[in-house]
Amino acid sequence: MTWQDELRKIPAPEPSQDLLERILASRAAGRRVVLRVPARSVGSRRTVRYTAAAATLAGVAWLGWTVLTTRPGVESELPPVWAIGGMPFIPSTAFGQERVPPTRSPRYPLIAQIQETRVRAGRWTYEGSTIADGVFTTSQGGPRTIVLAAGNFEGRPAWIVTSPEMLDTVLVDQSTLRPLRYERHMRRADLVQQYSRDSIAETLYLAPPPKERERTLRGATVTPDSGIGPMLVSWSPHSLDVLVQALPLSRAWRGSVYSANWVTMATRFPMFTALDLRVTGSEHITVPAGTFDCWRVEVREGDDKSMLWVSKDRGWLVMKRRTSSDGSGKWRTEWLHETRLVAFDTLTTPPAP
Amino acid sequence: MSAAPVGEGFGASVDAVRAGSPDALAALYGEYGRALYRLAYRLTGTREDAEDVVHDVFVGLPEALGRYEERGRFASWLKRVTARVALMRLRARNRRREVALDSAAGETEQPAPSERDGLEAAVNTLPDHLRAVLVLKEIEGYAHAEIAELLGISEGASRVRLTRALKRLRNELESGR
Repeated sequence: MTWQDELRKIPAPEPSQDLLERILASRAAGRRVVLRVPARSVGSRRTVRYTAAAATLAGVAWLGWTVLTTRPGVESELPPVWAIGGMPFIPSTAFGQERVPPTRSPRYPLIAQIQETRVRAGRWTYEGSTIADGVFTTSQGGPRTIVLAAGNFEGRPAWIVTSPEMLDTVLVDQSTLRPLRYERHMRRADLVQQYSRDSIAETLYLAPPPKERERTLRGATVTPDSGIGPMLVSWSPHSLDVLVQALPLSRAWRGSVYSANWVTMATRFPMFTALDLRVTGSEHITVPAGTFDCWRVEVREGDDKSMLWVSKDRGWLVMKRRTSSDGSGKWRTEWLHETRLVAFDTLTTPPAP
Repeated sequence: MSAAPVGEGFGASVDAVRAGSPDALAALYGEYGRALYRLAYRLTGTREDAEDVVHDVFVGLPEALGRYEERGRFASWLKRVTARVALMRLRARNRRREVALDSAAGETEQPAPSERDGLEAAVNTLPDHLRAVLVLKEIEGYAHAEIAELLGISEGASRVRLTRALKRLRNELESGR
């Protein structure tokens, strides 16, 4: 006989004979007692818990496997503008509780000396193509035109850089080549960045359907370079086109420049990225617009690397090539983006350096 | 008026009990009343409290059956309901004891250990919170998870209480009280 049997054999008294009568009398008198009822047995809840835990473990394992084995594809290289299409519209207050991705330090000294007088107004037209695994894939939506016009902004001489195809405008200080204002109008969002000497104030208006989800995010930040030297706008690839016109390129020249990304979405993307530029040689390049004697400039932005060919005598961006063939083996598809100058129209040819 | 049989099959009789039929309720009491009373008595330790528990359970049962999902054994469900009521009564009794003066301790309905023999006397010397775990685990056969859920404690706490209850029980038996 076990110990439990002994316990169960402990005698218990019988209930009173009149207990049932009292129960029925209470019911008849209208008395009611609210009982706490176990909705589900603990065993079934335990089963649910174990099932949920197993599902969670399986999910985490799958996620880990996916992260460890999936190589970044072409999609991950798309500019931030494309991210807005599928981004979760979380209030900026929630963003404020997340950690801001750190800004990578520049590899070279920040560009401090420029030849701003070399920059000329004009119109440049480029065409682009993408070649994936050796097969021509797309012409990237037709030619793209950059218009650079002289103007004024808040009493200062400014370059007005526009791209009719991209519906964006960058205003750049003519003496420092720092941006003054950036505006971009997208299908369901408007972005405005207002630059001062050492800070950026950003307003991002989001208008996804339905209307109730519309919201405006605002943010501000201090620039990492304390207002010294030029700066780029990541949203506008053309701000680099303007800068290269003023760079004193020469053999072995190198320098870094910050590029401003998001402020309001700083937890998704770093606020600034550093572009490291380095002259790696000179070449004669033939593009639809003609043959040019160019500096070959390597541009590194984090792990991303591209190559620019910049006209030696005019400072124009003649060709840009971006490829995944970096030997790292991380790319699923070997692809190559190439942008070539097809036409130009300038009022005055800048002087040779 | 004849009462429909109320047992493991329950089935059609549930509607009669839910509707408040006294006969159906009496039949249910006849089948489960004694077992539930024993459980209540072991948990509360007094006849009066045990009767009050069973009384309240059966008075509230017709309405409670409206939330009975008819899963698992009906007897188990009924025992769990009764255990809950008994434990609530234990807690209420403990609160009353906290308020009472020390002199009131002599008025407790707990029979003196000397009046009982052996194991039963030793079990009744246990504090309520330890006896409840001992009764539910070793006599009623509940799992620690179920006890934890009934008492509102963790599984670990249930195991600790059982260990302490058994240790005290052994000490009581060895001391020959």
